[in-house]
Amino acid sequence: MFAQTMRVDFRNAALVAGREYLDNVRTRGFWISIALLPLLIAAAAAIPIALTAAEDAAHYAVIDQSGWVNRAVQARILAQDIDAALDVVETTTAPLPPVLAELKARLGADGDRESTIRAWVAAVLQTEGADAAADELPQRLALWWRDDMPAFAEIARVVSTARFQYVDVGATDRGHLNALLENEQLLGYFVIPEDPVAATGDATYVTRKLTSPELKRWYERWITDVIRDRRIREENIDAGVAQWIQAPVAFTSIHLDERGGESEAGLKDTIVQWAPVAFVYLLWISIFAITQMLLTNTVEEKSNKLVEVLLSAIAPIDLMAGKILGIAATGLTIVSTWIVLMGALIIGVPHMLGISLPIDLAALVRNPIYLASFAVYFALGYLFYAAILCAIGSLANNLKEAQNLMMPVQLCLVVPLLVMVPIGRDPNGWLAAALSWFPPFTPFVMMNRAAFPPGWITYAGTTLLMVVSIVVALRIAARVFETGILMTGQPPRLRQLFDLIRGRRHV
Amino acid sequence: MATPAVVLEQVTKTFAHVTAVDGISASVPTGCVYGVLGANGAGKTTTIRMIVGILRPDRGRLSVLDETEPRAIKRRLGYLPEEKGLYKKMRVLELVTYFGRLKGMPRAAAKAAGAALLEQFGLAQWQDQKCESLSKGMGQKVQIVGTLIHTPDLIVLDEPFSGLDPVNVELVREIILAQKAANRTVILSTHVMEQAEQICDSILLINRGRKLVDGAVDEVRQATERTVIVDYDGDGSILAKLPGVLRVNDAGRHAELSLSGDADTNRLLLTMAESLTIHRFDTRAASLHEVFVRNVRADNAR
Repeated sequence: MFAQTMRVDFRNAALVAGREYLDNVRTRGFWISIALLPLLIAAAAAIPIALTAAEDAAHYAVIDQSGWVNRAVQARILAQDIDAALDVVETTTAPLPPVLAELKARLGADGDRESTIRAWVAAVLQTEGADAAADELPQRLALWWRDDMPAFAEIARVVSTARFQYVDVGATDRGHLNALLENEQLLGYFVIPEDPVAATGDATYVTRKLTSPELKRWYERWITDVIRDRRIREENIDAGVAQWIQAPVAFTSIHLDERGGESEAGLKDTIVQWAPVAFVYLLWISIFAITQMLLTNTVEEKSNKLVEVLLSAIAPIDLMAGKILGIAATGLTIVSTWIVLMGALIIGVPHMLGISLPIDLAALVRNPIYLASFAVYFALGYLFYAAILCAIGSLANNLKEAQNLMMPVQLCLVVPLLVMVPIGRDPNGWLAAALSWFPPFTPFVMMNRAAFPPGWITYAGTTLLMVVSIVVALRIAARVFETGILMTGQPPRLRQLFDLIRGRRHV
Repeated sequence: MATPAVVLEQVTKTFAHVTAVDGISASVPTGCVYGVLGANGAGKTTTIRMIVGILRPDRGRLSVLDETEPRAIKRRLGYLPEEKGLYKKMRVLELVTYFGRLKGMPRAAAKAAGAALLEQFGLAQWQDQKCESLSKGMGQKVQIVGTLIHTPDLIVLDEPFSGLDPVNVELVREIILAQKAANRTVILSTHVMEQAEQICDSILLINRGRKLVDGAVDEVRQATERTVIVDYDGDGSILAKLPGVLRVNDAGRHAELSLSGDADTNRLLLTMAESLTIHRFDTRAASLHEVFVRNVRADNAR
């Protein structure tokens, strides 16, 4: 009898699949899903920018008992901002404000641009108010930056390191500053002792928000640089020597490829190693979202009372196969739209902005092993989980019941996410090797390993095992579906479920 | 006589702990309207689901349109289940076309047949509307169109009258009779005996999964004791005490008395007239209602 019921009539299945597809494509949810990813990406890009724009910079004040340290710090901050702005303006073809154009010309291909600017800015800040500037350009530069910067809000937003803004309250009275803290005009203030070069023990930071130490760390970094430079100068240590003493030791990573060739490992290698993780994530989301769609659809089919009519015309397995195929077509439409859109974003947006990426992301996406693995493992993973969810959907009378029954599957699906990073780090380690052979995880884990593919035996073996598992899962699902889809009332208990699967069809 | 449309031989179906259908044997003549009758939960729907091939019997033999393999006759079968639904987002013609195609019709033929039937049912102007915009009665008509679109030889209707207003009851009745006139077999289930009596040629009465009675309606009625229909005014409590009266179905001013075999109807009328005003006194074969109540009560008492 099962030989009969297990044979799919593909004409019927295609009819069901076609209807499912059209029905889904016509829903608002489908178009929302299609638009969702690009919207998310756009939002991911836009929100930080919008937040930065909207965010009031946190203000801080300084009581500088030394009389010079804070000024030096501010000079350095300003110099760095100008330097960063120069980086940006260098790549634009837009007309520059005259002061920057002049500066750019003056600096030319000068090596240490930042120190030069810093010296100028320091000089200007020392003499602020007076018009005794030795060089006119630095002064104009500093004034331009301070006064006209809002006009270049775009540049400021991109380059500004000044998430924290210095407020010159001109007060040395802590009581007054404390009042400003009270009414939240200040995030915090620093008290710099008289001679921080000799001893910084009395340096104090006062705030009401101890939970956000960023301001303290940020200012500490700047002041440490200033004090260190001063100490070096006072000890008459040659700047070059000082730099040499402070130079950290850094290893250069060499990537040894399969053919024994050596190449310097850089950002590209890191991205190549981690690219599969992005694909695993996409695979996971796709499989999860689409099988979820199948589950919802099956539960709905049960509740719209047409199942009996359908089953009087076609076999349950035709209906199930049609659903799995129809939802797969819907899901594939969504996922391939995503992939195309993402490809367009990765290739198109940098092109549009005239920026060239440090590495060829497009080539990475085009790398056949990624897309081929994605396609194959999507199909395998989808079929495997589709079988399970179809069975679950057929047993549940509503989505709440379905969610309860989904629990074990969801727990199972968490595993590939948990091991994503460990496997990315060690794609051929024991964890990766072991989990590859466990069918519920095979698609994700094998995708995860795509950067450093294991041998063909692993590929062939795991795929074969996966295919066998899918066939078994589909057969079991068909048995459950056949009875479940007509069932009303309580979903069966585990014991009854086993009876059902064993083919004792009394429920 | 032609071969029966459906033959059940000792058909049994058991769910987890309940035997829903227990050794039922019956034969549905071709070209008749056949009623599967029974109280709620008697096993009507299970019997019908086995006939349309959704469920398979655990034991016994079931042959439908001369076939024992359900797949073989799916395309010659039209089924309207008790639970009736539509794909809400689909358009009416699109939906009935889909049903036709599921029954093996080519797209164009299904579309043409669907449009013609919708026209016949007065739904032509709704064919491009979404199903969710239909009223309940219209929805039911659309489902019937879906059931009949492929001109099936066997039409199975589970509770076709439930939830319908009198106008639509009449419409469904006409549809059933038209199918019978075209020599197609209609099997319907109902628990409303008056409807069954009016429309069915043969019946199968089941209770607790077992067959109580089956056969042509007239024969079934004749086989049960005669009854008298009485329309009256007065205290009806005396009716049950009259000589020869076995049981009374008393509706207040209308009663059906079932009589013992040797009851004298003349004496019955005279006695009755002493204490009641009689408007109607009508001896006849037992109604299906009486057949039903008597058999089910006797079975439940067992």
